[in-house]
Amino acid sequence: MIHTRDSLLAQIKIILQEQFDIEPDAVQLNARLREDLDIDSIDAVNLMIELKSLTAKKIALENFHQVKTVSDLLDAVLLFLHQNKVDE
Amino acid sequence: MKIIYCWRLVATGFAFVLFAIVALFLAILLAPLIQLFTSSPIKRRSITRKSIQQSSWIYLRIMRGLGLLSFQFEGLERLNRPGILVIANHPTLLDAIFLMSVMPATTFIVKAAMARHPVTRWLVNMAGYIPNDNVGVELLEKAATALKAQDQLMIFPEGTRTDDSGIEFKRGAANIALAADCPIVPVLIDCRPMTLRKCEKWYQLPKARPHFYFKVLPEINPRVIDHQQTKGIQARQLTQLMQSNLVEELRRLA
Repeated sequence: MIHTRDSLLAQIKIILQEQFDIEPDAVQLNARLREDLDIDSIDAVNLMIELKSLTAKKIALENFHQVKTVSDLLDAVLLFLHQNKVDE
Repeated sequence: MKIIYCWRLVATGFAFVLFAIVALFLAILLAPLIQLFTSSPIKRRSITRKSIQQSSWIYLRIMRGLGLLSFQFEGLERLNRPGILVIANHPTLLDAIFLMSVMPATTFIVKAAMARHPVTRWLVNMAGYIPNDNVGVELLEKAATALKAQDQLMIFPEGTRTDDSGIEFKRGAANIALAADCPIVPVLIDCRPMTLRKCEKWYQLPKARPHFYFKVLPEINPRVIDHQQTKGIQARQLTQLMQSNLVEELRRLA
């Protein structure tokens, strides 16, 4: 599956709505996950599990230490996908 | 008026010093005694908790004797059962001391700063209280495991004292209750006039002697939340339910 930033954003919007009842319109690139979208550390773990459906592999929480905003999240997932492709 | 105010100021200062003395004394006295007389960590824990309960019980009566405060408890029998998660709003610095004075066998989830503070860290350790610094999955699992083993747990869902923006629960408490599938017993705490708030220093005395009122409310069963929904949504709904329940009761008092 090939992901662009835009298609990934669309999928993340769906996940956030399904999992946490977050309005898709609120999921802007510069929105902060914790402060603006009210995603806490326990939500973050559930989010990782759901992202697995996009990446086919489980993403370790370590990949997300620097993630503050939706944009950071997209970068982290794209980076992860890229790295795993190189490995294969 | 001036004389009474001065008296209360001196007595308040004394009460703070006394707290530190009692806490240190307890730790210094208990540590070797407990090591000596019992080898089982669980037994040590329960002796420490019982000692904390009795000391805070006496401490609060000294405060009352000094004319610094008055207090009243209601519905304490609701706390007399294992495996419950006790929650409360958190208006003042004394809330935990009050609750510890009536809950001799409870695991308190305490502010991480208390687990590091030179005066309280020994007791927090010996009593097996859980610091709230790793609010994430680790704390959640620890707490749920304890509850499933029929321990009683107490947590302030706000994570810290209420500030100007009003009561706002974090979702940790709801997540714990959902994971452990245990009854939630809310305790309403009301203090009038307000004192020892987050924004206040110890020497900022209220105009009159504050009265503390504690009311244990009927339990909330987390199963009222629809379990078909995702965990994230369940936690949000249960948090909302717990918070509005306490806020409603407080409004009724006002």
